[in-house]
Amino acid sequence: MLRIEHLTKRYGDKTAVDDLSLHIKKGMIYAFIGHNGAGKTTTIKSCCGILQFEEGNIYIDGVSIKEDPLACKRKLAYIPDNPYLYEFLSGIRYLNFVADIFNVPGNEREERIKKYAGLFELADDLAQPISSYSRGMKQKLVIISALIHDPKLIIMDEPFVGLDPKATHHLKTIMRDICNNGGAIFFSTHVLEVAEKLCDEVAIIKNGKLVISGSMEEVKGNDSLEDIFLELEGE
Amino acid sequence: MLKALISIRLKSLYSSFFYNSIVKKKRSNAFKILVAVFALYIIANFFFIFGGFFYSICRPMAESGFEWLYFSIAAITAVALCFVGSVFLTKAQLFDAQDNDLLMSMPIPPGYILCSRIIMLLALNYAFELFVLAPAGIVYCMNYTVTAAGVVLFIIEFLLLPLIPLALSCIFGWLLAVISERVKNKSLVTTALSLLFLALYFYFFSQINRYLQILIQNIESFGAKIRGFLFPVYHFGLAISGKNLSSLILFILCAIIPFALVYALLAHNFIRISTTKKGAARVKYKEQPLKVGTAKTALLKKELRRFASSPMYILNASLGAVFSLAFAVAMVIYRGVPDFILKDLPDIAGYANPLIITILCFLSSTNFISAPSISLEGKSLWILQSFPVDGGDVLLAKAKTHMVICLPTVFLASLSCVFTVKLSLPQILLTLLLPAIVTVFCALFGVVVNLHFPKFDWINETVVVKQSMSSGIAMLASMAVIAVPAILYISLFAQKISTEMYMFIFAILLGVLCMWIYRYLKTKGSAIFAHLG
Repeated sequence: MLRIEHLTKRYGDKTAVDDLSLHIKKGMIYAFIGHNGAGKTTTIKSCCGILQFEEGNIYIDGVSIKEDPLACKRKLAYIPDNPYLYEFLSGIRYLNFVADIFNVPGNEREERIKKYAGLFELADDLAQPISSYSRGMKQKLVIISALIHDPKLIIMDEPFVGLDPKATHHLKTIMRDICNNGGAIFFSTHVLEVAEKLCDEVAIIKNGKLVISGSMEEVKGNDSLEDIFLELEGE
Repeated sequence: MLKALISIRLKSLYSSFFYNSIVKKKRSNAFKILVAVFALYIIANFFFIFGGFFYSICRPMAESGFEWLYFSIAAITAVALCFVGSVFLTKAQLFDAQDNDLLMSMPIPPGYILCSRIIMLLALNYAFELFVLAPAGIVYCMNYTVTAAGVVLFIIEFLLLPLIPLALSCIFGWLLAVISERVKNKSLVTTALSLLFLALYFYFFSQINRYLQILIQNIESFGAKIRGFLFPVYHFGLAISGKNLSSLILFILCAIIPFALVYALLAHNFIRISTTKKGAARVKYKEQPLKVGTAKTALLKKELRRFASSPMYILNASLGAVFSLAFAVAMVIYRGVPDFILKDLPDIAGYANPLIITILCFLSSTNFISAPSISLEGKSLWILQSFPVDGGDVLLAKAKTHMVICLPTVFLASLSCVFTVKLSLPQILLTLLLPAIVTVFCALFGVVVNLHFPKFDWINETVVVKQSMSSGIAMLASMAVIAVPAILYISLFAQKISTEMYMFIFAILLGVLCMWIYRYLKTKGSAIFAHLG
């Protein structure tokens, strides 16, 4: 579903991501772990077509993001680390805007908004302007907007930040359901316990370079993911 | 600490002009020179306008023994300009600043935060004051000899005078903030209030010549009124003209005491003002069928909502649309070009119709809605960049917003001319076509300029709309596109081709330019947009 091949991204003299290759298959929840500034967000933004990169290529469902970015973007949804949204719109208007952009039929969008807004307990607040939302409410709105077009691939940057325990639980369930239905999830997180329990595969990145990747069992063996991560970081 | 706060504000102001957010590099020296030339041009304009005004009243007043009144009028003008120029910025800086939360969370005394903002506003007031008092002083020096004592008094009063408009704009800014915080249709009320304010302001300036005449004819009674009602400016004038120390002391007290009171009041309430958000009542969402539209319509609707949500954006970027409406009303009321204008200026009578078309074009060119529209995406730029929409469509939605707002007003103004002025058929066509083409050009050109001069790291949107390089360049260049060919025509080709023919050629060339910009936005513009941020 998502194939990253020899991705290299530089900011001036600094190489943020160096020759990174990953393969996220259908039905897989893939965790992306690394210290602050390791290159996680750069990689994620490159995958979503927000950031241009110098070398390598990224394929979404076999289509190159460099060659046909719009076709790729139609298949994926992106949840950023900071939910900066259009503060001048109400929640429902934002969701309807996203649905229009992704050309979601009327009944489908209404159904999905009802389902997910109810699940995340945001339904009553949809008429409010986004400017009045808390950090957690904005995060919930971004998640609902990501789900509104039923994407095949969801790429998330720290998706659990700001969510209450109930919403976190619902998000984890949704992530598993999407993968069970043939989708894929690629997300970065610092919450190693969640990654360990939830993910099928994991990649650890350090200073822009891939340190290790593979199935959760292969990577951590009999240790915890935290032990492995700290060990690799210390090297 | 205070120094650090002021320094960060100055750096922010500097970077808004001299830092390229695309390549994250300082702008070149050539660019800085261009900005300096532009700033000099603006200053020269102010000096010319106010210099002319003071030149016409200096001698009549001094010779009637009302020298103090000359300086009092200079002070009133300076206070008015400072107040009008800074009241909205005062509201934005003191009560709506987005870095309030960040600064309040740091161990910075709130008084320091307030003080740093007041100092920046004071600096702005000094700039406005200089535009008025410098020409007033120069004109006086040209007519009369001045003493060292007079110069010292003038400097002391120059330094203290802005405290009066600053105190006033703090109060009005506070009132505006309180009103806009409590009302339901916040942007509508603020826009209506601001338009009323602007209407009064422009009415006053449209009548300035009449007032000037009345003033010179009734110096004595006017002087008596100032003495009676405008106590501080009376002593401002008297202190300089009569080297009157007691007047100087009274003026100093009049400037310092109200400002100190306002400052103390703000300092006392600053935490409450900055942290209390009353907001509108919570509305519970009731499920209803959602309107389905295309991606392009969604982008346009989103841009229109963005525009309508900000009174500051409306008032600054679409003033030309307001003036176009006012122009249409004036044409209907006066039923065409007023006779008194044609009588007073018989030379322009033959050119009245082309002049009207040019005025309509100029009104259109003062709108710059599209010029800050990319920058206004700010930190939410990721939304459009991650969506499956062509960058060209995003950019064109911004241009279309400009057109949707401005074209109807331009068309109404054109239509009012068609029905009230005797126009030939070619002139009717030009009246309807040319201002519309200018509007389309301004809309497309604004987006191009913003694409090359974006600023996404703003704290307050005022910086992007009012003070950004993009808005400035877009507005001036749009005016220049009309003025430069017109000057060239008048000086080189007026004898060879008719005005109507020139205007048709100009309309065709501008139309071709619009098509080229449209293509640029759809192709290269789209690629540039993908790299922004």
